[in-house]
Amino acid sequence: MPASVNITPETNIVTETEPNKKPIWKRSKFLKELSTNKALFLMLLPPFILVFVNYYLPMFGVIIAFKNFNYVDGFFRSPWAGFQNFRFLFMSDAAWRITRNTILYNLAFIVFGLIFALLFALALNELRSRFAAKVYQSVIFLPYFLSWVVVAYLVLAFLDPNGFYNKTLTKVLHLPEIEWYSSPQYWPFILILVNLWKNVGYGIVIYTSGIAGIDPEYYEAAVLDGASKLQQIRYITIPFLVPFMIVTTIINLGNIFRSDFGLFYQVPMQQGLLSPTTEVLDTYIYKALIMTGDLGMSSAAGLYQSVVGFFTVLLANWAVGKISPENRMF
Amino acid sequence: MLKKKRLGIAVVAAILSSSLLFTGCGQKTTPPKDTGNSGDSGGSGNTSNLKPYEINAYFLAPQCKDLPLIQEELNKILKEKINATIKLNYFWWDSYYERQQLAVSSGEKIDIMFSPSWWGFNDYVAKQAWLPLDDLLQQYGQDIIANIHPSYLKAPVVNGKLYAIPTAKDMYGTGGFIFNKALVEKYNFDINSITKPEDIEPWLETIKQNEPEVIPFLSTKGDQQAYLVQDWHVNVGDVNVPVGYMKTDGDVKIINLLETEISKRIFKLSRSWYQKGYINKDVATLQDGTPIKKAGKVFAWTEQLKPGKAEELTAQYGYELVQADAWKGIEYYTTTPDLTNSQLVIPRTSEDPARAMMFINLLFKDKEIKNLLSWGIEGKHYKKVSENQIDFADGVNADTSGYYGIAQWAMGGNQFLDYLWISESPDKWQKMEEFNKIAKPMKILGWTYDSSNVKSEIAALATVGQNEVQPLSQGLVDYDTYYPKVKASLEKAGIQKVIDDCQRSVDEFVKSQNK
Amino acid sequence: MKLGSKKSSTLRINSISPSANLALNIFFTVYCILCLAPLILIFMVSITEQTSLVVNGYSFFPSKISFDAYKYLFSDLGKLFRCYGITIFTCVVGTFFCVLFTMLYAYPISRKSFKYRNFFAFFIFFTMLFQGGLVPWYILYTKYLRLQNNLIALIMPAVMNAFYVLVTKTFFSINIPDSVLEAARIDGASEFRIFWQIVIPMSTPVIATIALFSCLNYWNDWYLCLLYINDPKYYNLQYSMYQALRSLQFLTSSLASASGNVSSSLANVPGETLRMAMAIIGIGPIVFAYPFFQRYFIKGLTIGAVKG
Repeated sequence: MPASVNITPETNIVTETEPNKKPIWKRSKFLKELSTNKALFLMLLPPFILVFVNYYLPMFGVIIAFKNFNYVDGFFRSPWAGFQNFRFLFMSDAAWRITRNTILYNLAFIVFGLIFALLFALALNELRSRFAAKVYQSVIFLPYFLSWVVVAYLVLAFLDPNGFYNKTLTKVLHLPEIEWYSSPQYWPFILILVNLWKNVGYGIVIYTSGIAGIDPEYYEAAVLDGASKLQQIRYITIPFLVPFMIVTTIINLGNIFRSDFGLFYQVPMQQGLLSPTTEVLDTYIYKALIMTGDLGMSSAAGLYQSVVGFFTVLLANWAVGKISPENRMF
Repeated sequence: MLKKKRLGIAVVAAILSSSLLFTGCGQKTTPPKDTGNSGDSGGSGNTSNLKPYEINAYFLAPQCKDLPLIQEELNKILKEKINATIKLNYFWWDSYYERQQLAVSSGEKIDIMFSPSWWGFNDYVAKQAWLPLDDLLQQYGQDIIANIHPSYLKAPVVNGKLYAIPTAKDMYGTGGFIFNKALVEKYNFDINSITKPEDIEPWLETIKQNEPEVIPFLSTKGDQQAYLVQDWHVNVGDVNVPVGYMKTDGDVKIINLLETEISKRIFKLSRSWYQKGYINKDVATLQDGTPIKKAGKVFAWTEQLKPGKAEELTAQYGYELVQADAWKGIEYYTTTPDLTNSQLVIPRTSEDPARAMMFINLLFKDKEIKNLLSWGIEGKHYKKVSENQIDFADGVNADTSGYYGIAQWAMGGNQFLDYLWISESPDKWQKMEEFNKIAKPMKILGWTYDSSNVKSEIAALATVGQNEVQPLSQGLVDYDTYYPKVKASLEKAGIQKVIDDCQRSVDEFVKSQNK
Repeated sequence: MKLGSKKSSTLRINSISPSANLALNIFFTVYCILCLAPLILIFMVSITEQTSLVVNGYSFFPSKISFDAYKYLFSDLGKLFRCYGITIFTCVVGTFFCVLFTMLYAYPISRKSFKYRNFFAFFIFFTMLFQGGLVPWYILYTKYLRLQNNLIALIMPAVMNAFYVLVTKTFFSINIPDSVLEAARIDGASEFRIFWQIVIPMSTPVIATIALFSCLNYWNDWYLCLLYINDPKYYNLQYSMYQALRSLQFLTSSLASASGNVSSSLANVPGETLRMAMAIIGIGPIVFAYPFFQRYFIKGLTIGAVKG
C-alpha cells in the first residue's frame, strides 16, 4: 500500500492524506493500471499462476530449516530449533576454505565465461562463410550435451597414471610425469578449463541470438560513416549485448554460493587429497548429509545459499543502477 | 522506487504466508498406533473376521517386467491366508533412498518398508517414523519368533522398543581375501595357512615378479581398509565417521577408530603395499573394480566373507575364485550393525499394522510366498533341478527373464527358506547355520546410538571422513606424517564431543541392563 | 519497417580481411577438433570389447571391436522406442508451453509503460534465489495435485524458468523499439494483435534460443522421472540410462559397502562400454535437431548491407 493511502479499519473507507474527491476505483493505482493494461495482465495471468503454484507454494518448506523435524508433528508442530541446523556449515576447519573456493570458482566462471562466449560469438559473426560459422557453432556446442560423469571419465583418460598425458604426451613433448589426482594445485585450472569447454557453447547461443536481433541499418549507417570493423563492434554490437551480459551476470551472482555439483564431485573423482582446491559448498553439504539425510539441515544449507545470493544480487543490482539505470533488473 | 520495492516485498511476504496457511493441513499424521486394530482377538490366520486390505510395500529391488504377475500370484495366496492383497513397489539402488524419504515425508500410507541400519534407520526411529513392534510381534508374529535367532530381535531395539524385523540370514561377516583360483594353484599357495593379512605378502611379490599382466592386489579406492579391520571394530553410526568401539567381551569403550593399533597397522600395510607396487596405481580413481575383476586380471582383493561367497562371485564373474579369512584365531562377534543390515519396518502411516505384521510373519514360514518374492514363478522364471535347487526356466536366461536380479537378502523374512541357485553348494544353508553359531553376541546388543544431540558434529565429521581419511586407506600417504592433520580436522569438527556423548549413551544402556 | 530486407552488395565491403578470416577459421577448426575428439573417443570406447578396454585403456583405435553394448541396449527395442517416445513427447509439449508462457510473461515486463513491471520481474526472479526444498514441492505434486505417474509431472516443473524469462525480456527491451509499438497502438491495434503480429515475428532469434534451451532441458532430465514416475512404461530416455549409472555410483560409495552385500549387486552393473554407448544414444537425436534451431539465431546474410 503506498504510503499516502490508508484505510480506516472500522469503516474500510480509503482516505488519502492529500484531499482527493474521486471514488476509490478511480484513485487506486493498481485498478487504474489494470484497466488500462488489461491485455498485459491477461497475458501474465497463466504463467503467473504456474509460477505461484510451482515455486511459491512449496516455499513454506523453508521453515524446516529452523525446526527439529519429526514425523509425528510434521512441518507445523515440530519443535523449533533456532539456528541449530546451520551449525554444521561452520564447524569444519575447512569452512573458510570451502567458502573461498565456491566464490572464487564462481567469479572465474562468470568472468571467463562471459569473455569467451562474447569473443567467440563476435568472431563467429565475422566469418565470411556463414556455413562455416554454423558448423563451428554446432560443434562447439556439443560438449554441453555430455554429462559430468562421462566428462569425468574423459578427464580420467587424459590424466590417469595410465592415461594420455602420462603415457604419451610426456614422451612426445618431454614433459615430466605428474600424479594429477594427488596434486591439488593444478585443479583450479583444470576445473575452470573443463567447465569453460563444456559450457561456452551455451553462452555463445545467447550472444549470437542477441547479435541476430540487431537492426542491420545501424551497421549500414556506420559503414557509410566510414567506421572500421572494430569501431562497429565497439559502438554497435557491444552496447546491444550489454544488457544480456548484465542479466546473465546478475543471475549468476545470485547463485554465487551454489555450484554445478557434477563438475566438482565427479571430475576430481571424489579424491580426498584434492579437496583443498576442489571442495565447494554443495559438495560439502552432500557429503555431510548423505548418510543422515536430515531434512532440517539440508533445508538450512539451501537457505544459507539463497540468502547470501539474494544480498549479492541486491548489491549488484544497485551497482548496475548507479552506472546505467535502464539496465537494472528490478 | 523504494516504495515499489517495499510493496513488492510486502506482497511476496503475503504470498508466502498464504502458502503457509494453504498447507496448514499438509502434514496430517496419524496418531501413534501401537497395537493392531483389525478387531480380531489375537492369533494369526483367523481370516473370518478380517476385512480386505491392501498392503503397500516398498522393497529394495530392481524393476522387473513381470512384477504384476508376481503380485497377482501373491495376492491369490494372501487373500486366502490373511484376506489381503499387496502392492509391491520396487526401487533399486539409484532411487530407493530418495523415494523412501519422499514417501515418508509426504505422509503416504505405507505398510512395510525395507529400512536397514546403514541407510537411515536410526534417524527415522529418532524422528518417530516407524512403529514400535513389540506387541504386534507377540500377537501376530509367532512364526517369526520361532524361526529367527533371538539375537536378531535384540538388535533393532531403541529405547527399549523393537522397531524392525530383521532378515534371518548370515549373522555376521568376516574380513577376508578372494583369490584367483588358477593362480593360486599355479604357484601352490596354501590359502589355509593365512593367519593374518601380512601372510600373503610373499605371494603378492611372486605374482608381481612373474605375472606382469596381473595386478597382485586390487584396491578400489582403499576398500581393503574397511574389510581388514571389520573383525576388530565396529562403527557406531555413519560409516564415514571414525567413532566406534573394539569388539570385546568386556566393557565397551568408545574411541576414535583411526587411532587403534589395528587401524594403524592396516594403514601402514596399505602404504607399504602401494609403495612396493602390489596395489594398482590407479587406486585413488578406480571407482568400479568390477570390469577388471571380471577380466581376470587380478590376483587378490578383499571382501566381506560368509560361507559360499566365493561361489557366488564365481557365478557372477565367470571364472573360479576361492576365499580365505584374513585373520585366524580371533573371536567372532555379532554386532548390532551386522544383525540390522537387512530388516523390514512398519511405518506409522500404516492403516492396519496388524495385517502388515501378519505378512511379515508369513515370510518366515511360508516357503511359497518367500520364493515368489525371491525368484519368481516356478515354470516361468525358474525350474527346480532338485529338492531345493533351481535354475533358469527353459528358454529363459538372465537377459530375457521377466523377474531377475533380485537381491534375496533384501526381501526380508527367513532366507533359509529360499531355494538355492544351481551354482551354489547344496548345503549352503547348513553351513550358514554352523557359521552363525560360531559368533558370540556383543554384550551391548540392543544398544543403538541416537546421535540427535550431536548431529551437526556428525555431519561435519562425515565430510572430514570422506575427504581426509581416504588417502590413508589408499596407501597414498604416510600415516605418521599425515595423520596429525587429520586429527586436527576431526577435533575441530567435534569428535571428542561425539565420543563423550556416545560413551554416555553406552554406559546408560549397560546400567539399565544390569538392573 | 525496414527489417529483414536482404541486401548483399556491401557484404564484401564490410567483411573482415581474408587473412583475418583465415586466422579465425584456423582457430575455430583447431578448437572444434578439441570438441569433437572426445566425442569420437566416447564412440570408440563404446564399440571396444570390454576386456580389451580394461587391459588397454581408452584408445581411438580399439584393439578389439565389439558391438555388444549396442546389442544389449537395442535388445529391448520396445522399451527403447517407448523411452524415446516419452522423451520426444515431453520435449515437444514442454518446449511449446515453455516458449509460449515465457513470451507471455516477458512481454509485459519489458514494456516501460507498464507500471508493475518491476514487481513481476522481481516475482519471477525471486524464484531463482529461494526454493522451498524438495520435500514440500514433492508433497505439493503428489498429495495435492495428484500428479504421481502422470506425464504432466514431467512437464510442469520446468515450464517456467526465470532465466529464460529475463533473457527474453532483455531481448524485447532492446530489439523491439517502443516507437514501432506506439505506431501500431495509435493505429488502433489491440495489445494481443501487436504481440502476435509484430513482436513475435521480430523475436525469432530469442524464440529459437529459448526453444533450444528448453528442449535440451527436457531432453536431459532424469530427475523428474526419478521422483514422480513409478511405472516403467512412462520412463524417459535419460532416466532409463541413468538407472544403471547411478546404481554404480551408489554402490561404490562407502555408504553401500557398509551393508556388506554390495559385491553381488556390483557384478550386474554395466561396464564402461555400455556407459559410453548410453551416452551416445542419449545424445544422438538432439544433436541432429540442433541445426533446426540454429538457423533462427545465427545471423544470415544481412550483415551490414546497404541499399543497393
